[in-house]
Amino acid sequence: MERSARAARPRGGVRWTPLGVAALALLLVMGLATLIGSVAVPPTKVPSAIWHGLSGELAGPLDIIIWQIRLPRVVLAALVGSALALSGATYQGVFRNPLAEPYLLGVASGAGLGAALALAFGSVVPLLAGAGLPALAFAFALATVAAVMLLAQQGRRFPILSLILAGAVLGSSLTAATSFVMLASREQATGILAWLLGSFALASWNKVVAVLPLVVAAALLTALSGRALNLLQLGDEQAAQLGLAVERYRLLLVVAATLATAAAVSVSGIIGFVGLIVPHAVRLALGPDHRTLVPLSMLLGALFMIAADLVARTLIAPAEVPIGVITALVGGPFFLVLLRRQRGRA
Amino acid sequence: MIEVRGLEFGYGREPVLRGLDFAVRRGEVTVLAGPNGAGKSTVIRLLTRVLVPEAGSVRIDGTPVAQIGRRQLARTLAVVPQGADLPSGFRGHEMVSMGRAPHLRLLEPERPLDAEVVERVMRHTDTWRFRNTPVEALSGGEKQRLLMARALAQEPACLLLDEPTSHLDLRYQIELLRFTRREVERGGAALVVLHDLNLAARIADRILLLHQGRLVSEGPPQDVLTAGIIRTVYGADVDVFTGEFDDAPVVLPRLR
Repeated sequence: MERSARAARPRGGVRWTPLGVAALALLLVMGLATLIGSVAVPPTKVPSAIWHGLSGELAGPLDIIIWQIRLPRVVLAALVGSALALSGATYQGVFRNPLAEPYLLGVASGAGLGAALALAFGSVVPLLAGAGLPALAFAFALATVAAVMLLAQQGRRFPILSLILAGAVLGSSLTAATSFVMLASREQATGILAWLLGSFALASWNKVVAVLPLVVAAALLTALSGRALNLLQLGDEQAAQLGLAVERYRLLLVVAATLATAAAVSVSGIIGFVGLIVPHAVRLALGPDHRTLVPLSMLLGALFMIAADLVARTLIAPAEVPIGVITALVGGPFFLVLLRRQRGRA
Repeated sequence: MIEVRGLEFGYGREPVLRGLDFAVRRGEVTVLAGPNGAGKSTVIRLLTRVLVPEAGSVRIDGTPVAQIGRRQLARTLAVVPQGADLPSGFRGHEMVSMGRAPHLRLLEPERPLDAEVVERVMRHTDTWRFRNTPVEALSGGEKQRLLMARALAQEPACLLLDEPTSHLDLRYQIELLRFTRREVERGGAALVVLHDLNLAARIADRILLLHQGRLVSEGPPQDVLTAGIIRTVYGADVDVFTGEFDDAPVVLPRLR
């Protein structure tokens, strides 16, 4: 046994095979989701529509459906899904808390209030329109996560239930404030609902362009910190004794996760539980090495979000179900099972 | 190797260390002993800069620890913690590979050299067979050996063991102390926090006896472990015998 094992020295680092498979699956699902909808699109029309779209010469209704409706929606859902999965995986790692997730921590609601304020006052204060929206969402999200951390921290630890409780309570207050802001700015009730429960119905290439650099930035920051996230799992003391600047990395990672959340919320509203379900599934399958866990969660988060959005827009077509309803229907029971498993460990 | 001068520290208002002086030398196993709450584990946290002293200095080969970068410090001092609580899911080799972190820059992937070191220390500590075992499936003794392997993977100049034997059966206690002895014979240094005086007598070249945040006695086991000193420090009456095979004293409580 010992001899046969010599050849099989375990390899550390990123595991490329599952990442490659997930990337291919994501491309496949993106393609499928482009074809499915109220108007069926023949696969052969997609490449020409993309070409026409890129060259700015859309010809005919199919081109418009593919280039201006389906594709931006699919791409935006992918970006938002990967951003939320990144946030979830990172928060779970930093707080050593399997239930941490942008929605359950209240961070998504904080970002939502910031975005709603920017929407409401954008016409009065020009600075708030355009790039001001994600900026304000980010500022509010950062303030929220700081508050939740302060409320929940006990010494050097963030006890699982304190963190989730603080996040849930703060989150519902912030959601109430968001509703108020939107009502006061005479937003229609359906618009508010779409915002609070998330929707990709208003997807556009502009939104894709707005959110893409933020998601890339957050992904780069966490990619730099894969090994650090692993060390943080040992607790602050052991991580420091293995040479990690604990406080610096914790700050960096919380900022990255919060940036990803704010980016997602500012284009799609508040979509819960994606950051909980996806990283958990990945951790169950491939273990806790964050150098694989984070990028794989991003790919599968994108895939999950496109699939959920597909359900959201086809289930009771021509009407749409807010996508947050779909993710909560899946994620709620998932959360409860995890909570049950944490008993005695909190 | 390590020089400590006038170390003072307290948690809140409660002073734990009140002016502690000692040295850890290469080629020696130094044991830090003393009653519960004497501040033994605090010393390890201060040496590794997890805590910052209120007064006094810690120098490593002449350089104050405050001026040594975290990663470099982790290449010099490696801690074997009390290993009951490890994050689940990581496999044996992943846990030991973390000991290579201080040798790697930010984005540097693990090199073939790192994999070699990990395999070498795992074979040496007989943990190679756990390389694909999730750590939560290991027994207390096996975890402790894995943590010893992780510390060795840091290739430190000095090992710091924090009550390494407290959860262990006799066989594992001996094993762990034997690894420590071997590192010291190769020119390293070791500081072992122990509360078992008989074990301390066997392993130590020098014992530092800590009481109420001060060093009350220092020297080879037979000088430190006398009935008089133990009565002062522990408030207990003991008989001290000299062992059969070496000079290590044997401490037995008197129950009358």
